[in-house]
Amino acid sequence: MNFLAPIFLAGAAAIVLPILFHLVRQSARRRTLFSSLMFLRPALPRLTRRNKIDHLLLLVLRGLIVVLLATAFARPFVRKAVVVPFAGAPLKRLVVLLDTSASMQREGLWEAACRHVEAAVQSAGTTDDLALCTFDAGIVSRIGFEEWRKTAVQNRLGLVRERLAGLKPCWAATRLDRALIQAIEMLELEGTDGGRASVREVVLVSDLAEGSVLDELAGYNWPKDVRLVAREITPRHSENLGISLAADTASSGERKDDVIKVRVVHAGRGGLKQVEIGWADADGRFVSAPIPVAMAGGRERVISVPAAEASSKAERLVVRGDEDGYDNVVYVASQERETTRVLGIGRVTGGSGVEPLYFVERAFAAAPRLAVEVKICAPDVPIKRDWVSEAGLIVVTCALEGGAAQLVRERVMHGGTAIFVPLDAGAAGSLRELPGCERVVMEESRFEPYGLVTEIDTGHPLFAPFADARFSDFTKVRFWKYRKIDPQTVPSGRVIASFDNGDAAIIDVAVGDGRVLIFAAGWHPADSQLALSSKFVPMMHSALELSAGPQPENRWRVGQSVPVRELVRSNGGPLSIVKPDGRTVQLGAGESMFSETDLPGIYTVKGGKRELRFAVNIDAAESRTTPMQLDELERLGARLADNDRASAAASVTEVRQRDAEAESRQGLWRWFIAAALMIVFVESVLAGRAARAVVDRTVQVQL
Amino acid sequence: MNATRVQAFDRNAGTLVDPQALMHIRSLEFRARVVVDGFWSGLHRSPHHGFSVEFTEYRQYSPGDDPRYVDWRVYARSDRYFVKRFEDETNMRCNLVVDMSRSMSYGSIGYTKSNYAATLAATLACFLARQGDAVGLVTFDERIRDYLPARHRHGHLRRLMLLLERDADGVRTDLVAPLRRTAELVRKRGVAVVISDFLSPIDQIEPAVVPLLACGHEVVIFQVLDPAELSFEFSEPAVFEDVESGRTLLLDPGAVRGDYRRRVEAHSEALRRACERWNGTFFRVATDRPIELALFDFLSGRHALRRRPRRAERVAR
Repeated sequence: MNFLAPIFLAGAAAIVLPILFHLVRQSARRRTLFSSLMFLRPALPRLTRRNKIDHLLLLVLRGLIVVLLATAFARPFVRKAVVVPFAGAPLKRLVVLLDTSASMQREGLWEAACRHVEAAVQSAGTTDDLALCTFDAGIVSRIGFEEWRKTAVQNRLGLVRERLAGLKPCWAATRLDRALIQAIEMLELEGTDGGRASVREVVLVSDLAEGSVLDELAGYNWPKDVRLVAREITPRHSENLGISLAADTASSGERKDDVIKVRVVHAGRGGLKQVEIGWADADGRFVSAPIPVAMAGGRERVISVPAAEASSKAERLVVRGDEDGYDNVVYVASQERETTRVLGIGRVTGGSGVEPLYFVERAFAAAPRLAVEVKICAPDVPIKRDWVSEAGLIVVTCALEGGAAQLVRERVMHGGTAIFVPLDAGAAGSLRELPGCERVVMEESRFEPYGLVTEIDTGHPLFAPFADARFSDFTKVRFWKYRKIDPQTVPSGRVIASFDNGDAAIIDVAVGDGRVLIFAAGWHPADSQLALSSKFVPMMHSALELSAGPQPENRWRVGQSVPVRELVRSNGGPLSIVKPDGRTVQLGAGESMFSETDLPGIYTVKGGKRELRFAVNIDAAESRTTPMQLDELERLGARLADNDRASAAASVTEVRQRDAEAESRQGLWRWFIAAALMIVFVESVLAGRAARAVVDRTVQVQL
Repeated sequence: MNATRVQAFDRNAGTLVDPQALMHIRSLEFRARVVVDGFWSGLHRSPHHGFSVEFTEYRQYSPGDDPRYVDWRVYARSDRYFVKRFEDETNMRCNLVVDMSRSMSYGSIGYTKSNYAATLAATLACFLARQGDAVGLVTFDERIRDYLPARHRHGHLRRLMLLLERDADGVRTDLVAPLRRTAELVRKRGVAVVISDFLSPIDQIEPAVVPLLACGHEVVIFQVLDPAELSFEFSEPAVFEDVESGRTLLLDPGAVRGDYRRRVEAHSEALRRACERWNGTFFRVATDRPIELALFDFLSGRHALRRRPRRAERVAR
């Protein structure tokens, strides 16, 4: 029996009233008229047990009326039968999740975490199921349910200690969301054993740092019967300083190679802290004058650090002044400046002014860590083979002679990228030398008054810089004339940009391993405003990367797979990667991604055309060690077991609604009221009889 | 002699009217007749005859007597002149003094002491009237409520019954003033039958009766008490309230019952002794006792009284 408004049960306390009335009536006695008191002397009645409560049946009935009314007002109902677990001790199944992310390297955390895990194991009953998993960027099962069940009860703690002994925090980020989801899936896979597993829990042993990723929990439907027991571990030092590369390492007006921008995070609620940032050698000694930085608690700053001198070969930026040093180093791989070549075939200037190649010469002037050599060959100058074969990008603006066309075709067939900008319809002849473009037809067209590029394929690598909607607006670039190309005549081509009249603006034609980009209109002022717009330079660099590959980055994070083969532009052959700890990992001929980035530091890739060094740093989020509010987990749907506030708050409303519906449907209060009325009737009859009996016995009759 | 009569009367007790049944008769007059008729029939079956109150007397004529009252029949038989005395001179004058105070309204057996007293008075009146005696009525509580002089005439009994049928709604009992006033009102000597519960201290009762005695009245006292007043058979502790004074008393009846009975008996005994001193007659009547027995007690008491020498005679001797 449950009650929707149990406060009214307090009304049952009114049961004392009938009792009091019975007693009071006894104490006041009934008044008996008598002819004369002259023969009587005062004699106080002795209280006997019989005198204490008279008319016990009436008292019981009256008390029952009060209780029934109070019960009716409390709106009783019978809750739906709860699934009663199978006879015997209820089975508790829990997954212990141990955090091994980088932030757990802070002093004292790991030992405390191990103690919490052992405590959780010890508190598990003999019939309970337990699994132990560690998680950082991924989740690893250390002890499965099956292994736990197979292990003798007395050996289970030893097993857990044995597994913990070989573990320590790594350098990866904290993907708490995935870890929780996978832990729940482990529980789901085990099933409920026909209702035996009445309690299912995920015991989370973690520092619950603010930088833990929770994104995927937002869309996850947390099972109702799985509770999360959060065992938060408090570090010895409440503050932490971390350093990471800022997203934009160059400021306007500065050469990117001159300055490294780093983000310094001061997590915690401490006060002002004075730290130093500077380049350091492998031993941690500053090799240049450190920059003093004052950091307030809970704040972060972006600091511009001058690039290390080339002679020092320093590759680590260190922040000094923090007790926990796991995130006090950021690695920056020094790169040798690579030279690539852009070959332009055509004229720089013509009768109508500057021509497209004029802008190509200037587009590659400021490429960081990549020296681009632009070679312009006039149409009538014979083209050397090595110029073409080494060119990362070939821009053709005129008709090619037979030999030149052959060279270009070979380069494209071997993975090169060529841009054809036919300045007149007659230049189409050179295109026909390329496979797939044999039937291309062009004709001169003009826009009145001007045309716009309205459709671009932002998925194409050429437009990769404009994939963001903020940069994909080409409507400010006006076009005056173009060569109308019928896409049907280029069957292997794909229109990646179109004018507003529907004609193709840029066609991407795959030729062998490379590709040819046919621009219907030039970017020079005679044809359009493209060269003068902000779109031109990124587009040219993208075109260069189509064959030259992306530039090496320093933004790899621990646990991230690195496309080393792409970085070193190696098409085949084994590669060897030297990890920061000196170990060498071989990458097979068919493998392109290197995934053993489990340590922060400088990785060296050997075996390609050139030796490549890239840096791997820990995730910047690992520096945000301010303890997470558990409310955040509750907000994302987690059902906390320890402080059931959220689940209670969330479920209380639900339960109340369900209870109200059950109470309304059952309407038990009516029966209680009816029973009370019946008892009132019976009580009235009995009381009347009792009163008559008293009258018959003692009361005088007035005749 | 007296005991023999009672035994003889008790043999006929099966014909007695149950007071409970009697009180259901609304008409007091009819109630009285039922009693008296039953009583007469009982008497006729009894071995005792003719104990009347008085007989008519004759005295020898002397000069100066009114010749109208000469009984010529006697002269014819005896050749002597005898003068017949007046009936009223020969008949008894009985005044019924009935208490109508609030204490008489108590009753625990379905009717009150007042009902019983009224029935008893009516029965006496009816019986005496049937004998040709003059009957008067005085009702009182703290003062005289009604006074009907003793008469023996047509309709008198009826008026007397009407007065007796009035409710006993007086406030309190004061015997002294009403009885003194009765002595003033009733000049002619006779019998004063005082019907009351006499729930007053004995030292207040004596001064009240003295004026009647002083006037030459013969005093017959009926102390009418309810059975509950005699036995005090209450079981529940209760607050007892005096119907006259309103005074209350919290009592455990079981604890006081014995003492109460002793005090009641002592009071009645004191009253009885006082009556003996006054040469009067005392009867204590419980209201559950048949009226006929009370009437029989009265008559037998009267008979015994007549056999005793009068007080004056005793004094003379």
